[in-house]
Amino acid sequence: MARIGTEYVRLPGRRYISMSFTRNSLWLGKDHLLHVINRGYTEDYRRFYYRDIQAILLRETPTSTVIRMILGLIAGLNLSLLSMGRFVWIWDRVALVPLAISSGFWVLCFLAELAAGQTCVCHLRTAVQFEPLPSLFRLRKARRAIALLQNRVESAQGSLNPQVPSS
Amino acid sequence: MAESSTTNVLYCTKCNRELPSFVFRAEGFRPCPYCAAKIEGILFPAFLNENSQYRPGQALLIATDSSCFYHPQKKAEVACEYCGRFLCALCEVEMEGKRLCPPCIETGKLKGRIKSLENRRVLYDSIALSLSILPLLIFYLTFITAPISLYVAIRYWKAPTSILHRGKWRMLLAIIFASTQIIGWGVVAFFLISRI
Repeated sequence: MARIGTEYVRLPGRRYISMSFTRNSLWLGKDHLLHVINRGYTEDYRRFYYRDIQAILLRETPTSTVIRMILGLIAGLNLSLLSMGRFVWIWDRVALVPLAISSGFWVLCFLAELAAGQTCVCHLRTAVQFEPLPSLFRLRKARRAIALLQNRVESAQGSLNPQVPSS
Repeated sequence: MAESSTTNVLYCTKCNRELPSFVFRAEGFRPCPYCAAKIEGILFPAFLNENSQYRPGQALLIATDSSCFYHPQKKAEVACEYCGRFLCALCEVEMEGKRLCPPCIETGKLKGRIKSLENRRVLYDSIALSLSILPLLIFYLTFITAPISLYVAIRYWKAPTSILHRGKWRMLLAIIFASTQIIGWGVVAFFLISRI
């Protein structure tokens, strides 16, 4: 007999929402997609059965551009201050070390943000629900997750005829 | 393929207006005609035939036919796999590969027999572990929290944890930390008493 929980396969993407202290993740089950909302000491579950999923909507958001601009600005300021201190004001090395560490930190943050890629918002539609999927926050991970989910949904429903009636 | 119904529409997730089909029909992002948000839709067959699975239940033709327990005018199609009552197509609900009636589903949910109806679990292992670690920041609190942590870990050892497989390592760590703290307090108490 399979142990409880072992039947779930984790989908890419996880998001911590600090405002509500929740961690969101998605898991592929045998016949449903499980949305786990972890609130620290409790877990809430929402199930979306593959046979009921009608559509997934992705929307690109400008959040990553804004974050990159802010991080780039802070990293740039730190680096320029560091170079000014080193070459113009000829600061003591001891004074430059904290600034170098701070610059390095912000540059790393900026690079990590660049590597994480574009942000998006993802919604899942069934006949009676239109649920946001907060864990699919990065476009690259969202596409990977949707590709895995699509396989399961199509094996439950069959694949869609490309001809969609016009509205 | 089924005809499109009036409910077969998608709305922009930014401006909430109805999206024309060319926006979600094509692959890749397309701008919403109203707010210019870049949107991509991935559609599945259920989007086009959402009413196809509706089954109203068949009316009784002969009075001697077996009828549904809840709808005497409807013909029985299956028996509930928990209570054995006859059910019509309207009452029959398929759950975890079993055909059940609504009251049995309600009972199954209350008694935790149907796993797929569980929508919340308390993570006692996380509670026990937090009780044994977090109070270390203000160490004298461990005098109270360590026994509580130990109690929670032992009392809820068999309680189901997350629906995702997590193992018992949090409980074990909580027991080890809490026991260490209790032993530590015991040593301190013994030392203080022996000095008096």
